[in-house]
Amino acid sequence: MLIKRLNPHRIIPVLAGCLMAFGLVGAAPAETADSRADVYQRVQALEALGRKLFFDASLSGLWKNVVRVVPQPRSCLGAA
Amino acid sequence: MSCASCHSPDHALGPPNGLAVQLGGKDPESARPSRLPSLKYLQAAPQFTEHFFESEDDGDESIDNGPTGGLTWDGRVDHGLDQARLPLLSPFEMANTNAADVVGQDFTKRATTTRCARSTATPCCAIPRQPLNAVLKAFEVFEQSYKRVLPLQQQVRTLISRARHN
Repeated sequence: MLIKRLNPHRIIPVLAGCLMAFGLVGAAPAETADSRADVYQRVQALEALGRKLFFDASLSGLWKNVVRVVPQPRSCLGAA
Repeated sequence: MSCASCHSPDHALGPPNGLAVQLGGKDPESARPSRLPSLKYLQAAPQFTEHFFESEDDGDESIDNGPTGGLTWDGRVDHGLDQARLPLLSPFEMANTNAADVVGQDFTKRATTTRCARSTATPCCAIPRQPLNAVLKAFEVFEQSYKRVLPLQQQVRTLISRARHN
């Protein structure tokens, strides 16, 4: 009975609309995903930063500890 | 003291002198409690397991080889990101007391000077939300650099590439 009442001319646009809506929802994550070029670019930037920090002595806490122990570290070096 | 002070690029990313242990930390006379390893080829280390079995291709898969894998002398961490955290916060090495000591206030300024080649609007290292994680992630990526840290793999790749072209 229900199938007989359904008018194909009305059902088809509704089904097409539903399919389009599902398609848009499914396509949304693909647009936000990183491309391979983005990933390589990010890795290059991180590698450059890592190389820079690898030689960066200011990452050590030793100098900060000296500053904590001696309020005016310049006085230790003979400066005023 | 930087990472390169003990992991010298001119000495296979290992100690630059003949000392059995390296000096570091707040006390100039305090020594690192274990021998300093090279940072090369760490990507080949499997994750730590108490019962390591080789694959069928590599050997006899029925033999329990015991505890294997992980980084540091006892395999306490599995990833370069976690391994890089240890010397930064160790009182015998770089002697930072917490994450804020490591990154400091000027980290943002230093980090933003390293930008993507194409997109100059957003610093790439801003992707990890915590600044210390950005530092650790950068070290992890640097330690997998073919040019500096993994030259043997690069040579093998070059040879394979040449063989394919020939």
